[in-house]
Amino acid sequence: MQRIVITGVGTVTSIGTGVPEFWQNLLAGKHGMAPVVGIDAADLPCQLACEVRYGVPGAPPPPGARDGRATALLAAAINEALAQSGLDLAQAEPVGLCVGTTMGEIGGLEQHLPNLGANVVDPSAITVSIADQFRLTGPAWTITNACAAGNYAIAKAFDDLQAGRARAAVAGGVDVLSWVAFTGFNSLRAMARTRCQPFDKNREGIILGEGAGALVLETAENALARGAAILAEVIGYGLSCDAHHPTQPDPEGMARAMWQALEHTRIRPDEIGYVSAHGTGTPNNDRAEARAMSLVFGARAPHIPISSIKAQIGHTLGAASAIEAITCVQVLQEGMIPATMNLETLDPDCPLDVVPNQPRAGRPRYVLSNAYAFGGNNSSLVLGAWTPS
Amino acid sequence: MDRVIITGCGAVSAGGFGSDRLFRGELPEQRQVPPISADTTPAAKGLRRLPLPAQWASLASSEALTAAGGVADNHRAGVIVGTNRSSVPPIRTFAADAEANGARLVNPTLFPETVMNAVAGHVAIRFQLRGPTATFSAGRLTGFQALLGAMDLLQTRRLAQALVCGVEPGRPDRADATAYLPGQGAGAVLLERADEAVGQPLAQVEAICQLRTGAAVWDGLRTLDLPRPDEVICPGRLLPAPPWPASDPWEWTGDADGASTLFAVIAGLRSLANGRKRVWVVDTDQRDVAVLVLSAVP
Repeated sequence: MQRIVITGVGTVTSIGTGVPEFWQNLLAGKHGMAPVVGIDAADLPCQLACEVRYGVPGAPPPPGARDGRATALLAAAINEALAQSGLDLAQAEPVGLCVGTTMGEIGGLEQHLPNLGANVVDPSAITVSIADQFRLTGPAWTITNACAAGNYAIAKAFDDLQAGRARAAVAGGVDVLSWVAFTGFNSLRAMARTRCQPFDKNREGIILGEGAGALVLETAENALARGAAILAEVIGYGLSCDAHHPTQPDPEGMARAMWQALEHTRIRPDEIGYVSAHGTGTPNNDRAEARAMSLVFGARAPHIPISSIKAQIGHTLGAASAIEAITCVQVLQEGMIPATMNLETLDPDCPLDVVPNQPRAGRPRYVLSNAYAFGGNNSSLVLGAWTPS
Repeated sequence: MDRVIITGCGAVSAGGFGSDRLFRGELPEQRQVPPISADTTPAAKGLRRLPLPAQWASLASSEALTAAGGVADNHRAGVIVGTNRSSVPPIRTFAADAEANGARLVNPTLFPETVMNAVAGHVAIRFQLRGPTATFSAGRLTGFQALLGAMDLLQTRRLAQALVCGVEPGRPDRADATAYLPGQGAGAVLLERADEAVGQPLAQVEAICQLRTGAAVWDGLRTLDLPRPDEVICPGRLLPAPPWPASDPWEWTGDADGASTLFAVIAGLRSLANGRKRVWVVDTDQRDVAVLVLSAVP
């Protein structure tokens, strides 16, 4: 079996465009939350969001641009990832593309609601546009697995490379702030009024965000042959479905994804040195996730550093797990573990080491990145520090 | 490639509920799915509260699973959905409710249906399928991507059984196009690893692939060195005339986007049952061509 490595990462978030700015602000505890600008949030209980900047040089198109915002965010992230990887796309052909998203390029559609007519743009339009823009001629996938779509995209790219369909692939996730999602999460009473507080006893819910994350995956053979700097290794992944409820999480299903990831990668639970949590800040998710951690890691669960960056960048839906995978790469590279911000009182139902409020030095060998979605979709990605043997 | 077989199929189309109704011949002009309720079929019991795409996918899946005899291990059985627009009717409903009642008072049960993977979630819940579940979107080749994605999960042993479903609500924005036959519905097939199969094989999947050919579809397919077919099933009219006997399921179902490929696969199963030894299901989006090779099981 081929070893699959990461040679480039790129991101656009509310706390930074580009991984260096994002990472610096993440460790500094900065957040991107502000009164929402891009959509009409009048009359809604929560009016805060983590939006990517508007109206400044280099900013992506405003919402409502039919062919614009999501594609532009992802293109910017992919540009950065490819530049870092140094991959010669013409030489590496065919290069694959796997895009995860929840709402796709929804801006044009929302302008015309409730009448839609010809304004519906298929989610795959982002993938087609990106493939054309970057001349990526390998397998192209659009995966609409909602809040776990980023992990699914990375898993698909991993499988494509293992199957020999390509020697390199770009995997990523993107979502822009949408009126449907913003109004919808408000309707579920799943949004916080002032801030997102994952694992806190008094947490109220999510703050929505937008952004994009992209990773360049290659076979290790290809990366080594061209002398690329390897950032991390994608060891493997696990997927499961709760088959329980359209929105409510099931700790057993979450645990099964983690077990499957560990089983397929032959990594022991005690070898995991950090967990990137889904950590949305909703009462149900965080409690279920803590229970799942206990099921998988047993007595060790309270001692494994686990943090959620959603307190700082919001819940970016389809982009979330792609950005969190990039965060894991940075953890492996930089030896710093990001904090879970806004924690005041740890929920006793979440007996975890959530790295409260201050980042911490740590250089784990293997990390686990979890993402869960509506429809009971559970995903767990195992990344590791690159070692040649 | 490890051996994969198809053991069940199901469909909801303009002909109604049932894969046999795909080929009735006389279909309504608009090719719309007729109302299906628990009064017309017990399989529809409990589905009324769901959006139509989820209802259709559940019904088609029900037929496929029943034909196959169910699943052996529900932790190794997953749902793979191909759809471009199943979220559109729920988004429209959500927006209309917000307009009628105000954004603050919109019905909270509507929002979860607006995400594209809601259909897969409902099918998984209804039939308690707990293996990996995924939703793909790829324009005209959506159904093929769902089949390809399922094959990958079967080949890597992450699944023993994959329920593949293509579902589309139709495209009323194109209803006036003279060259366009609007269609809607859901098609489903159950793929199983032959070494872990529960059901009896209807066909074997010999090959499935997608490649960039542009307009040179048949020349491109020749480079793959696939075994020759007795019949080619080509949904739609974008393909040039194939060099083998061909049939077009759009004649019966219209263009149902993500569901079209699954309808074509069901047409292929019917051809094999009627004596063909090997069929190809082919489609193109003018950039890529995708082909599924099905063969009769001895």
